[in-house]
Amino acid sequence: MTTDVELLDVERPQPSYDLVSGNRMVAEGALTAGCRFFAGYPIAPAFEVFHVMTEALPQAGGLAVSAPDDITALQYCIGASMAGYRAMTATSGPGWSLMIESVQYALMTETPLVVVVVQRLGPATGGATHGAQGDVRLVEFCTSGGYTIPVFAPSTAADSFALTIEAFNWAERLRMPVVLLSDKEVGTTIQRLDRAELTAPDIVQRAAPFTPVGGPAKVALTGSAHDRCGRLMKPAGEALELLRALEAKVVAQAHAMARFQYRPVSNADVVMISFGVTARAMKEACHHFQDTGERLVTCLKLETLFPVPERIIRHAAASARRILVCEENLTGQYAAVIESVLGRPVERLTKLGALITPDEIIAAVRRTGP
Amino acid sequence: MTGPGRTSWLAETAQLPYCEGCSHASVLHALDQALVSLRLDPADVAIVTDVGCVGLAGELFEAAHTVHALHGRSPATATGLALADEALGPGRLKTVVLIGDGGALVGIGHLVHAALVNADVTVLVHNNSWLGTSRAQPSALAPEGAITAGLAAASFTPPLDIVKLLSAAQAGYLVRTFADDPDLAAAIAAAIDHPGFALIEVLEYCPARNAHRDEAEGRRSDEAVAVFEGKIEPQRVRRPPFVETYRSRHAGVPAPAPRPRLAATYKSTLDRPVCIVVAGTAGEHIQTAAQVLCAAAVTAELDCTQKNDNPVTVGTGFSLSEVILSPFEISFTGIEWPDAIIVTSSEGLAEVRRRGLLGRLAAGGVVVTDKQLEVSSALSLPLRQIASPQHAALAGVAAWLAHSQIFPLEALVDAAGQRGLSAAIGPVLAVSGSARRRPQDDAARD
Repeated sequence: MTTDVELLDVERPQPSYDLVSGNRMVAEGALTAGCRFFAGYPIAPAFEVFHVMTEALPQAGGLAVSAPDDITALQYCIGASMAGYRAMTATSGPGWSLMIESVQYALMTETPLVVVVVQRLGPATGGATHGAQGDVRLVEFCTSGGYTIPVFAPSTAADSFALTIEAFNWAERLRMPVVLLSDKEVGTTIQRLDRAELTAPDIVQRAAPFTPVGGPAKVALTGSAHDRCGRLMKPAGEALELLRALEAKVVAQAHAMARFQYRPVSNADVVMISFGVTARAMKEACHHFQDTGERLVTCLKLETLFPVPERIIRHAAASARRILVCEENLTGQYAAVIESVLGRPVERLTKLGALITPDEIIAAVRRTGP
Repeated sequence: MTGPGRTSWLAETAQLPYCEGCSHASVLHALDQALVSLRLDPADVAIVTDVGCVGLAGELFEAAHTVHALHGRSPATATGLALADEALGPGRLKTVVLIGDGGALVGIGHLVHAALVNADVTVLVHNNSWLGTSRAQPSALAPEGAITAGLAAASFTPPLDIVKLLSAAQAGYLVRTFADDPDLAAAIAAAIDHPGFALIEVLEYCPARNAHRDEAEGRRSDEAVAVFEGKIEPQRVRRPPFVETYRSRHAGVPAPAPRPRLAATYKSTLDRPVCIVVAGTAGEHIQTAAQVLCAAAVTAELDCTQKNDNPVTVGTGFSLSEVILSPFEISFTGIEWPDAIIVTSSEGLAEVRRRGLLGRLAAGGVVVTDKQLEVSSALSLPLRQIASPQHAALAGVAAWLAHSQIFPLEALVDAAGQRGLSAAIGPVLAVSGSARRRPQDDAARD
């Protein structure tokens, strides 16, 4: 005879945990998404992605190549993706700075790929083993012409897994480079994880209109202005239409790409908005206010930074009296993005060189409160 | 795309967009003849062009796949294509790069690595001594004294011998020849036929550059040819392709070890988060000790996070881990008020002091130090002496666990054993035994 209790045991086996970093889960997400090519130039704090991919890809029938520099790494990925294989590289701010030219080339040639940027303190070489969220607008404005490159930002190891798959999916759907914007703390801090609890979107397969170089149909690709057949063309007429289409295809999917966590609270005093590692502190601050009832607050954790998830930002902003944006950089880079969406100033909690703590967020909420 | 039997790979209406007398046209016709003679399937050929005059030609090769790359990056784009085709695809792709002498120096690192990697990439360096499209400066491959846009833009540097350079990079096939070499098509065909990286430097004539020269000096000559001592017959180095080496290196390498599966075996008495800082010297397994603590805590049904820090150098200076253990899900991973600080060396102590951690010890918190360190009211133990410097941190962690009793020491012993640290356990426990909280301590505290 079977009891209900036993049935429950069968459905919910005892959890089995691993200790993992965000960087490891980025690599596992990439492998799950079908990434078969990785070229990397190791850089702190991103190099564990390189290590895991180098260890796992040969066994998965893939290729992991150590490139002599960041530009070569991304160029190898571009070539591999043009040949028809999912490709990824991982870097940090200094490497991303070098890759910007090649990212634009991938955009222009409509080459799908994923670049993982594990942020560290800048500018220049900055603090190699020091965390920061200072590359938000360096990623946003990486193209001449201001094209929107999709950017996903994980806060946890589980996010790192799911959002890497999301990044691959959107790279395939839109045939373009997509950035996973992690940071030193999310990337390298080790945490407990039960893989059985991981959630992941369905994998988007590579399909037409993508056509591989080396396949039976002739392919012509160029980073210069071109017509629909890939022939060089003075930027007029059809070539200009194509330049517009590069942006329009992203904007059209902005709503579908918007990933966030938000629990609506009507008439809240404050809505806190954050992303990446700072969203973890925000979550604790949010729990504090919910537990104590000291303030009516809600929080919006953004997992998609670009295209800007305007709808949820407007919605959350409309439900609260005050808006507090928390991020670990000097000037409040994403706060400026939100201000441009809302057309009014928001409160900024920023910090340079150290994690924003839950206590600091709590204090910021109290600062101008009743 | 038509089959391999075609008589030209260029579009029938193709007009090569070059000045009268420019070598590019004759070299590209030689490339066309080479492709025809090899009877390759056009679907298996990718022509990757760099930026500059010669880059305009790519798309005229209507039969092949064409990729117009960034300035100087074409060798890397092509190598990515070739590597992926060889490792993941049918391995039939012939990749031909057309690059000028300007682009060759922009992408010199790409060329060197492409030669080292030895994927099936053939590079034609069209060396006409200057950056013709911008009609400005001489390239680094130009002979010293070569004049371009007037005397002010003369080359003041000796020419880079790219054949010699790539010879040092073990390039599998290297040739230098002239645009008017009657055997040029055969030379290009041989390079493309070579199964790995090949490079042909073709010394060319640019009428636009020589027009400037005429004004400046009133003479025309192919001084590049003289400087480079003319033609270099094919230099071959027999090397396995990258993918072959890659596969043989990985053959027999076992799959990555399965990841640990930690299940709840022990119980914890913890009813709130505790924050532990472990600090010591890089290279002395500080972060390993913290990870053993985390693994043990997970088997005692606790959530955990471990945030590591060390200088850029991995083997010198301090190493520090911030560990949080909690019966609840942990969100914020930083430590403001440590409940325990475990310090095994003076470097660790210096970092702990720099961060002001001792002054922020939580009420009821404990500091465990090696006995050689002078920290007031710390639990001072012979960590390094008994457990060795390599396991001092683990001994410190064990001592703290024995003292705090938040979960059984056996969990730590298990976790250490699973990480191959069984041999260290005896000395580690010998140290921690002295830290075990005795009933009379509790009585005294009560």
